[in-house]
Amino acid sequence: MEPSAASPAAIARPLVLGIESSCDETAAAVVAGDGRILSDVVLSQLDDHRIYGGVVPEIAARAHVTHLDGLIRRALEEAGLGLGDIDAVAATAGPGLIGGVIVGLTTAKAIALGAGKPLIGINHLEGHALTPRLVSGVAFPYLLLLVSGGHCQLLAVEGVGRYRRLGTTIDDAVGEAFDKTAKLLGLGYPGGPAVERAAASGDATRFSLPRPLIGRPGCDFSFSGLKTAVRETVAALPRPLSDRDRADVAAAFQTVVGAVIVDRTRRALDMLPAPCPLVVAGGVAANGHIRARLQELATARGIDFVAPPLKLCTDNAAMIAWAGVEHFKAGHTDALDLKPRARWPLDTEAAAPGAKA
Amino acid sequence: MRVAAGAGVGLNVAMPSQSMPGARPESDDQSLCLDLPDLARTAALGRALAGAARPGDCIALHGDLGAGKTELARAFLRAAGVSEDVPSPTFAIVQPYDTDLGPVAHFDLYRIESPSDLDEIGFEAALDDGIVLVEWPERAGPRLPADRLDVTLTLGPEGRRTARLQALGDWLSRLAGLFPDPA
Repeated sequence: MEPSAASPAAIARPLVLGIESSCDETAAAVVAGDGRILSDVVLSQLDDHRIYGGVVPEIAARAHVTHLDGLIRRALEEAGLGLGDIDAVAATAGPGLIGGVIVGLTTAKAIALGAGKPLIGINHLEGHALTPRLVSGVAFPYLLLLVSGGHCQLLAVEGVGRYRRLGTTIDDAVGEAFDKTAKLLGLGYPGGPAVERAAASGDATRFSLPRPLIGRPGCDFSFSGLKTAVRETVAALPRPLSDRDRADVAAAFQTVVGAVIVDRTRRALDMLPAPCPLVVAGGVAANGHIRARLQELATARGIDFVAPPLKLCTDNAAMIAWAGVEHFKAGHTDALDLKPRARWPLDTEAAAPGAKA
Repeated sequence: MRVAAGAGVGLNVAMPSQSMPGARPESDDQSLCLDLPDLARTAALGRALAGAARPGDCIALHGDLGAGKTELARAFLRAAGVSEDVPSPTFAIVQPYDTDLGPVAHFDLYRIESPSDLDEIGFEAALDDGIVLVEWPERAGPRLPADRLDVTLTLGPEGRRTARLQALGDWLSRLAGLFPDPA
């Protein structure tokens, strides 16, 4: 199994090294111009704690520093390439925990300078937004639902660098709501799969939870009040919680989340000028109930539904390398004085004149 | 005894020293309790605190899941002129903002494992730069600055919350001005 046996000359250009260090994840990957993933090395790839982008910290910039060199070396080795063979270095420049972003971006700058390759700074959210084109070649435009531990957004993806945010959470991300619900129910970690497992045997009708923003105009999300309602529901139950109670609360919660996501996504589809594919990304896309509800919506609307494989839904460097490929093809590169950004909404980039162009 | 306390924020204030026998605060440890019947009142408290905050301040937001910590922080940031999103910081651990009050860093230490992680997330640097709002502050252990305002939010039945404000250091005098003794 040598995925990298081909000589660099035989691989579609450009070849982009991608570096991701903005969240809890540290990763390096090499992706070719035709979407072939030549390598994809994720520090915690075997750690299922990450499935919902959840609550296990790998806070340390120190950890990124310690591991990044080795990860990059391994990504190049697995691709069978040297630094001289690649065409550009792409790194997440934000948003995210700034220590990690600085380490990844600075490393990318050093490689770019040392090897004489162009640097491409990538918005982490853009990596998610462009991933469906890496796996299925879906054409622009499409509607992206990004649901993870840190993000909950609906984006109209109109082209490389052209993203319109239609809706976002006004408080908690949906993955965070799963994690905190799991904690309130005393379920295991990671929270998302634990809630889904418990919900499988639960009665979703026993408890009534609020259905935040359903029916309201626009397509923003809100999950903070739902979290509080779960807490109040749990507080009224006898201790210790029975498996039955846990399952029923989990089922009620998951059903509400599914209903909210479908309602908001339906409204986002209505905001677009024409029918287009629906794409879901982020760790919460792993939830079978939510995925099924979205598939139903897409079927009812007669549109394609694309869900990248889980490994590419969660944080990874292949998506950063691929976003680098897309920008490189479009002739976009960045100067070496590019600044890391802890906050970087995706659509202000498109709105800012001359940004990323 | 619960009395309306003017102060322009419409919050009901009760001084524990008057209302709860045996809970009389130490002279250097003035605390007061506020009724927050709904989220609007939690937001009003956030705005009130923004009106009194200064660079270098640390406001520690204690309370369990769903107690209203992020809601209070969001109202604080809105009052400080932030118009962009104010998401929960749980995932990102810290969200930095440029505000009318200077830099404000909104921390959530829920996910850190030990106080030494504070070095990695720039906690002290943020205190040097401006105002720090911190959720799950107890995870900072001894690294929490001694000069701070502790706000403890408690969720009661039917969405009613209470806030207990405990001033340490410089906050003592400011809190007295913000919520004048109703007596």
